[in-house]
Amino acid sequence: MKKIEIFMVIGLLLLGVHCLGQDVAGIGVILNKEKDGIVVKQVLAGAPAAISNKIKANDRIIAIGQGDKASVSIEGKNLSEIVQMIRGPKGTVVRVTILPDGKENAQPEVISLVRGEIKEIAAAPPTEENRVGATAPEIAGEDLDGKKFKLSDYRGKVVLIDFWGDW
Amino acid sequence: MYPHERSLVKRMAGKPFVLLGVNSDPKDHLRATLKKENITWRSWWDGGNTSGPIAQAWGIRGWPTLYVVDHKGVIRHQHVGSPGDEVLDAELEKLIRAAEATKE
Repeated sequence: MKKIEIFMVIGLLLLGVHCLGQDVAGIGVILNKEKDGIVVKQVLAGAPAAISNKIKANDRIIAIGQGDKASVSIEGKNLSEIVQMIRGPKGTVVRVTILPDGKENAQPEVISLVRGEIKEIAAAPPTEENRVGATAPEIAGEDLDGKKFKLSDYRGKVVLIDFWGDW
Repeated sequence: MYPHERSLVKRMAGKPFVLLGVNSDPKDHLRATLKKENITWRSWWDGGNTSGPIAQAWGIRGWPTLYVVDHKGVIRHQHVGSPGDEVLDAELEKLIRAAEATKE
């Protein structure tokens, strides 16, 4: 079930990329319709939603407003109608009302975002260095406590690398 | 993700497997999450946002993104978003068996 859901989401994203013209922009989120409503599945790096740092995966979207016009509830609307509402000319403002983490009792938050070009980000090919079949590029950095460690420290083990945030 | 990752780490204890995170949250947020969600596996802290140096170097555009790397250091699978617990488990178990088979 889950797998099908993910494929549908990616399908939607790709469709969105193809439909985007020169002047149509968005905020860079991948949405999915779930039983509780419209939920943010992913936030695309470098796009307005990610830069704002205010929209995270699992947030539920409950209303959308255009510029300084009143927000409109998205209840009963389908995913493509909602995507239409979020998209618009580059540089215009869209206000998204969310329930953080999808929690019913959470205080709704209104996030104001300036639409930006997301085409190149979404369509960018994976880098040559980290394609399937290539040797994983070294990762060297520090953990939360400042302790240094490297990916190559774990050679000999199967490694699951999880690029994550709290969502 | 967290419950499946917790059970994965527990189940694979003693096997040639490790789960490593690259985290894009601000430090105080990450610290709170590690505690709240009982996260025992290591993560690189990637600068506090989604434009951190590791995510940039790997060209990450969606979260979560998962990479499965075999015992020789070769990338075998990439998933943008979770592929589902069963798919991921099957991929890992196959590679872990291969890693165990090459051990002396």
